[in-house]
Amino acid sequence: MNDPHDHDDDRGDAYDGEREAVAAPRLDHGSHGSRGLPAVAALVRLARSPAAWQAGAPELAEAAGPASLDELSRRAFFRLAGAGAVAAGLAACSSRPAREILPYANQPPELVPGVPLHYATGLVEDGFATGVLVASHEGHPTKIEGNPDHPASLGATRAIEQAAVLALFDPERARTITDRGVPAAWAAIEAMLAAAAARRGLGLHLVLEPTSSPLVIELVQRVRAALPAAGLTFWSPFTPRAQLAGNRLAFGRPLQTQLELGAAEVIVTLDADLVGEHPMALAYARRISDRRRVVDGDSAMSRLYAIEAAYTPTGVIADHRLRVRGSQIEHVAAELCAQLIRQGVRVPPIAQPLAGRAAVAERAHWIKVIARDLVRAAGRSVVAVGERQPPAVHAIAAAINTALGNVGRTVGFSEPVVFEAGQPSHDGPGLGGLGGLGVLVRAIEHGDVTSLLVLAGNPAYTAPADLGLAGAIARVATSLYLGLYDNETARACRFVVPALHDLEQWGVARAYDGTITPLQPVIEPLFSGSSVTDVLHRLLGDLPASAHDRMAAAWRRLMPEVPLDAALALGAVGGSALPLVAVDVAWDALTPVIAGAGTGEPPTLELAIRPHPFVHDGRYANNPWLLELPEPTTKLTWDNAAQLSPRTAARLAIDDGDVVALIVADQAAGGAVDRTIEVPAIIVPGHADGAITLHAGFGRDGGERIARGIGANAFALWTTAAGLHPPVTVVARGTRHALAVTQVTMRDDGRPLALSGTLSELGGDTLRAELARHRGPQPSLYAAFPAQGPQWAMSIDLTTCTGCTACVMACAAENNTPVVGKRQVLNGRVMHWLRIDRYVGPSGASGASGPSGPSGDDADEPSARVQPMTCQHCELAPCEYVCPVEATTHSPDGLNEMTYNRCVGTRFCSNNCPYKVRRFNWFDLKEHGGLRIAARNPDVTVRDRGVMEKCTYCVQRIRRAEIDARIADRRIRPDEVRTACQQACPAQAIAFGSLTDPVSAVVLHRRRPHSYAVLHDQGTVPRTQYLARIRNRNGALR
Amino acid sequence: MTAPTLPAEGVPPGVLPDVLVGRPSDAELSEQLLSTTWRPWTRGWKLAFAICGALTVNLFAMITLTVLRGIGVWGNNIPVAWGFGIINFVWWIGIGHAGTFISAILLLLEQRWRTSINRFTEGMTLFAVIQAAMFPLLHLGRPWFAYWLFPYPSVMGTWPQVRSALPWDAAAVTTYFLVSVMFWYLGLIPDLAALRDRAPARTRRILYGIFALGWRGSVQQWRHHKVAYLLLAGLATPLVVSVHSIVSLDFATTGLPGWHSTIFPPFFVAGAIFSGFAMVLTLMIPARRVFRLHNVITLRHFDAMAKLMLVMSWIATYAYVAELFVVWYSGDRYEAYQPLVNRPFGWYGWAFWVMVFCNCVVTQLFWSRRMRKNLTVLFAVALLVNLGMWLERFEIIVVSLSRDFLPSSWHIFVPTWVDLGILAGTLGFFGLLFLVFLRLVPFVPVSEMKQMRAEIVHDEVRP
Amino acid sequence: MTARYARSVARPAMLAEFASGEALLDGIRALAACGVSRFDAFTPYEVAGLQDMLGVRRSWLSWIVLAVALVAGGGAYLLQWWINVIDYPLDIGGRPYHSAPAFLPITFEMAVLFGGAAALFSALVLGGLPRLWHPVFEIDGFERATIDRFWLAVGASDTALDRVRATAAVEAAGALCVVWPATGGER
Repeated sequence: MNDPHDHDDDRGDAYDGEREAVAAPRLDHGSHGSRGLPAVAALVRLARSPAAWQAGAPELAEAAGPASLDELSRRAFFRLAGAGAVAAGLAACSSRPAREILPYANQPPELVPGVPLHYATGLVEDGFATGVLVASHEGHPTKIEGNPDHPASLGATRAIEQAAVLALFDPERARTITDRGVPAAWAAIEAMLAAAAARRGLGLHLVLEPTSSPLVIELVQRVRAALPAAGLTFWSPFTPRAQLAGNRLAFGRPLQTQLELGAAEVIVTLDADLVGEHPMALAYARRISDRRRVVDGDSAMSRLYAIEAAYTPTGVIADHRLRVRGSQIEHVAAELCAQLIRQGVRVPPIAQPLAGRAAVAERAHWIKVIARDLVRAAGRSVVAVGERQPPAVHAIAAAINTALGNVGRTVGFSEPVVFEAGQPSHDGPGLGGLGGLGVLVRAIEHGDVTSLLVLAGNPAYTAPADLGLAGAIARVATSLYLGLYDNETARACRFVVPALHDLEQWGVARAYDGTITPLQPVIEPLFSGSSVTDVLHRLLGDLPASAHDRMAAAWRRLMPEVPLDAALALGAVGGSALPLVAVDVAWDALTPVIAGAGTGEPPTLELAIRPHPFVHDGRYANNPWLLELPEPTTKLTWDNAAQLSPRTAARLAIDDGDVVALIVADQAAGGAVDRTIEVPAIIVPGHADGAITLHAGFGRDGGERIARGIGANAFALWTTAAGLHPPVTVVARGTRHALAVTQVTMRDDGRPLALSGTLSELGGDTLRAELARHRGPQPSLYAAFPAQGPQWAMSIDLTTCTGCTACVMACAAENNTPVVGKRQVLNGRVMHWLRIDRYVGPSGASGASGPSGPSGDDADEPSARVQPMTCQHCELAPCEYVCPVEATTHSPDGLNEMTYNRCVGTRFCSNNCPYKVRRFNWFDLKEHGGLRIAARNPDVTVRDRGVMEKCTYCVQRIRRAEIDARIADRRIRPDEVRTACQQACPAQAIAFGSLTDPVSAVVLHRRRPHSYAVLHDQGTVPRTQYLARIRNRNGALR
Repeated sequence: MTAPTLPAEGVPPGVLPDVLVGRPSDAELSEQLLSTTWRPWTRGWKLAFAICGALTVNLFAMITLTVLRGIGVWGNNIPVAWGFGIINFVWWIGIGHAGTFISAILLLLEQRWRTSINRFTEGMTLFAVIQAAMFPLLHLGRPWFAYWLFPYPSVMGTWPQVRSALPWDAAAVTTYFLVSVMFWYLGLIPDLAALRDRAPARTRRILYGIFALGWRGSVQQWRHHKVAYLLLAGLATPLVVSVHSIVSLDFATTGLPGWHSTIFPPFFVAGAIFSGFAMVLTLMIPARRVFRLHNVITLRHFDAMAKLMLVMSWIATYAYVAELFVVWYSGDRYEAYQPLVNRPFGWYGWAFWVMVFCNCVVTQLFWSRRMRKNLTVLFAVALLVNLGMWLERFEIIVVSLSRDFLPSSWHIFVPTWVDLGILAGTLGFFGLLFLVFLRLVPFVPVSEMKQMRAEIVHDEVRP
Repeated sequence: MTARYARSVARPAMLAEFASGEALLDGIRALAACGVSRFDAFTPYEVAGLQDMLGVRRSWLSWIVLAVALVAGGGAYLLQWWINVIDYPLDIGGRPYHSAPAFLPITFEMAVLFGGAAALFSALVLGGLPRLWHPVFEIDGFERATIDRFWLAVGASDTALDRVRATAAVEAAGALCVVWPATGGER
């Protein structure tokens, strides 16, 4: 029996509690002094600036009255932000040196109220930039889309980019410089920096995040020159290390692997989540999907073999998936290599002995088949390896790709994009040695470090546990942290300088392929933030020039041939990708590596720590949107959990939600120390046996009120000596923990919902007949209503959908759907309009030779089918005729419309919705006041308590397109309207358009033989149809 | 007049007593039946009143909470968007039906045994409908807009959407309540007049006098009263059938597996009368003892009601079985899943088996005449049937919703303490109204009893 | 026998109290034998045979109820039709504007509601109610007319009423008492 409103401080209430705090700022906010005034001040300053006056906009200056950001009303914020931005625009018209930020593609003559402008910039993670377009309403960013002209985005985004706009407006961001929690001024810090710079940097140590920014690199090199004695460490827990080390093994120098998946016919992934976790995931997902868009039975389709431990999005779209625990993938790689040699792949004689290696019995057939496929597609195949595999595996893959002649065609190698990547300054655990931070800690212990500058990341939290970095930092005389939050590192350091959010700063970063991405601020800094370059400049004693001027100057120096404005307008510098380098494998060095690969004895139970798909290494953990977003594999929200296979769970006699202690012995400490965390278990069908996967980024205990205390800290089990797959002991604690999963039942009970089949079956009649039963006209007693104008419809391709959940986040960001907190999620009250159903086990539409999933369908080898599910906009909508007050009705253009103002909240419509896609405002869920409301989309109504809501097909975008078309006196173009989910989808699995438009993508989709409607037999005539999940199965396997 | 003399229950075993024990004079009958309104308050009554009063206060506290914070304080969720609110609504309105059944249908069937209990049961109807009528309002997300379900010239030009079963509900429940009130009041007028002329205290006389409207039992008044009473009975009869049929259409008109069923209207009506009789027994057995009415409410009455409950129990059982057959015969996998898998073996399997025991098994005791005459057994069974019928609505509403078409959206429903508090509160409020009713008006129709007595005597004199 | 019910016994000339319905009927017979013909009676419940003896026809109230019910039902249907077809037609799940089956429940309920109201109120009005005071209430002992006494009344307008003969007749029939309200000396 759940108590509706005891406000104990459990995890579910973290968000609610925080919300109250935002509405009425508390003392701890107050202690930060100015309480956001700087932001307003900045806007006011801008609005009052001479530029604005010259441009003759006194009323703007009037509009920008003083206020405090916390008790700022939504309107007031718009007015201020609007005034600031308009002033910026006007200033552009004046003669003074340009300060303006440049709109994407075409610069508008003026800012049209109500019409968002899009600015191109980039979001950087671990040094890799993803190009985005930021929609800005009256001067404040409301929505982030992918930049089609950026190679790492191609127009798509991950959930993380979608949620960045909320992170920008996070009221808990660090707001002012503090000295041990007390507000301080730059003067104190400059004194510290001066002292640090003295004695040519002796006793000074800098910790930066891996960076690809030419601006930062330039400064770092100047620091190196000016302060040669200063220590320098680049730290981020999940930056690519093994790959570079592996390529060094193979080619003698650290190189970055670049995949050209568009040309790949056969792809074999070794624990590599190419479409989920890879820095290039968006582009890779797009390239892979482009080779897998099935039109009919004889479509050309690439084949994807996923060999992995956890069930990743890559595994979801794979044609064949083999469950292998992380530590054994090394064996698989070696066996594959040997098998290829046996099958005649040409390698230097020195490598011939490798062929002797035999495969483990149960997968020998697999290896043989895969090898055959690779050989068949030699030159058009790819073997990709993930970051959690040791260098040896990367080296083997490099050798295989070389031997198969893939290098130069589907696989390339470039110099690292990240500065000094692969160098000692980047070393981390898992590669032997202590890694860069280990060296730092040693130095601190020897008293060699007197001042420490931590200029990004959150090393005190993410560093390997055995280093005890937080304690070490505390021992440093003077330490400075530049960061967005009052997090673990901030609490260990003396000085804390608020950092600028990516959307607030000028800068440059490179994409994974090296493409140069200029960053421009889309809003004046909300708080008095600084960038890394600011601090480095001050360290070097430069006169602090304005960020824009510094950037412009540096740009002229680094890229004289490319005008900055052009680059800013496009969001990327075309052709600036790093060139591929010619390589040849050092076989003599490599042969013993391969021979010795995977000879070690595997532990009975091993642990793999992965970055969480949404909070990554914890840096996004204070973002309620991301915390409430269902994790793609487990559908878990507001938590992390130990994932393990049903068989392993049975062996350990633990069940979903049982709290277990994960114990890792720390050899570095002489095996004396047992590192233990307590975390609930969650059973994941399809997970490799004998392995536990745990997502990092939770169990935070910094000052972020939302992130704090949620989940368990995986880094506490991470030691320098542990390696990538440390043996782990599991002890059931006998207690239980409520897991807030958004999907309780994962088996589809044999129901024909997410249909699937194989390419060959699609050629045959059985599957076609089966699918035909799920579409076409249904008998009806009613005469069809006259259709006027376009008839909107959607089609979703289950073959390419990876279940990455970016669409869900995009939908929430576009449509202002509220966050409800853990307890409400537990009570089935999550408010997402779009959900991704995941079914494991036998596929629904089963006939003798009917559709079925890949690689077996029993509990141990399940096939996961994902199915984005949202309002189907039924033509004979069951929800409509049961509404007693005409609150949900049908529009002439085929939309199932909700009239919020008319809804009395009987919830009858939800009961009669066979797809259960309607969401109800059980409480007053919307935020009142606070900073976060600035992230709302002003084009979408914020729903009131007690009304029903649901997917609208992004009707606001449809109406916008209609208005534009009317203004331009033309018809709406095919595929002109794009829904938020469609726009975000990396795989472009969603098509949207009008059925009256013969060339629209949705119509083309519907002509395909595998287009079908869910619950077609219910006669609801849904406007959303699906393309059945088609697998390009290799007949030789089962 | 002194305390009424009560003929003892002189009933030879195996022989059913008459509907009236002894042949009290008009004066004695009047005294005995009218005096329930001015007899001194017993301790038992005060205790019951205190308990019900407390529960009623709790009810309105819960209602306030619900309206202030939102419907989220209940356990409802997606997919189980209807929970205790609608269960209680259907349950209470069903209970009301026995009252109308006894007072109207049995009147038309000229069943003498209905005479002494019809006002009692009709009162039960009214108070049950009052409980029921609260829920359609309370369960709304925005109860303050409930009037949008009724047609009125809105400035927005909008109207109710009458293809939905909910406006039908609104009309049916409103009609049912008003017609019941009118029927009840019309029968009450002669007795109010009697109280006007007999009640001890002057204030009472004045009050009763006002409500008696000046009734003096003239030929003309009796002439129209008789016809109007019969007509109201005639109208109430199809009405009572229509009301629960319409309630059942809230479910039957949807496509939800477990709701989408043409058997619902008759099935619901039978179930309603079933639970109603259970509630009549639950109330009457104590009331009869407290007010010492063994001569006018005799074992004959209980025997008849027990037989009717047995019949209704079999109708319900038949409906359960028929549903099983229909879904199996339909071959629809979604429909079949509900009664074949979800209800008996799903998350709420225990509730299903308890329901079967209460509604189908335990009532079989009434095959035995001895059991039908054993008030303890009757009372216990009545309570069980009340529970069973509540669980039946739970099965239909919550269990069906918790697992519908897409397994991805399946979710369990757990009631909050607000849900339970409101349910208990309505029981208390119902009891409170009933206790007041017992003290306010003669709950055995005096004039009708005297007339029946006259007829009995008449028949006895001239066989 | 010529006894009949007097439509206007607002001011009775004579009242007689009886202990039972049968006695009341005997009294009526006795008076009728004397040629008295304008009767009314006040009884705690319907006395079998009384209305037949007074030649009272069955109440025509049923026709009012029928008419009202038909009008109410028809009106309800028309309103629903007008709302959905004329005033504000909407595409509701592809259902036709004129969804006749869906209009029926409310039609029926409205017919019953207004029919029932008609029954109650016409019964009261035709029975001359509400009328809280009536001359007969002034007579001592009349309060038992609702408990266990049966009162016979003769209309003042009855010319055949002779005080002596009538008194004798009803007392012979078992009247407990006979009352001659002061009626302005009318005989």
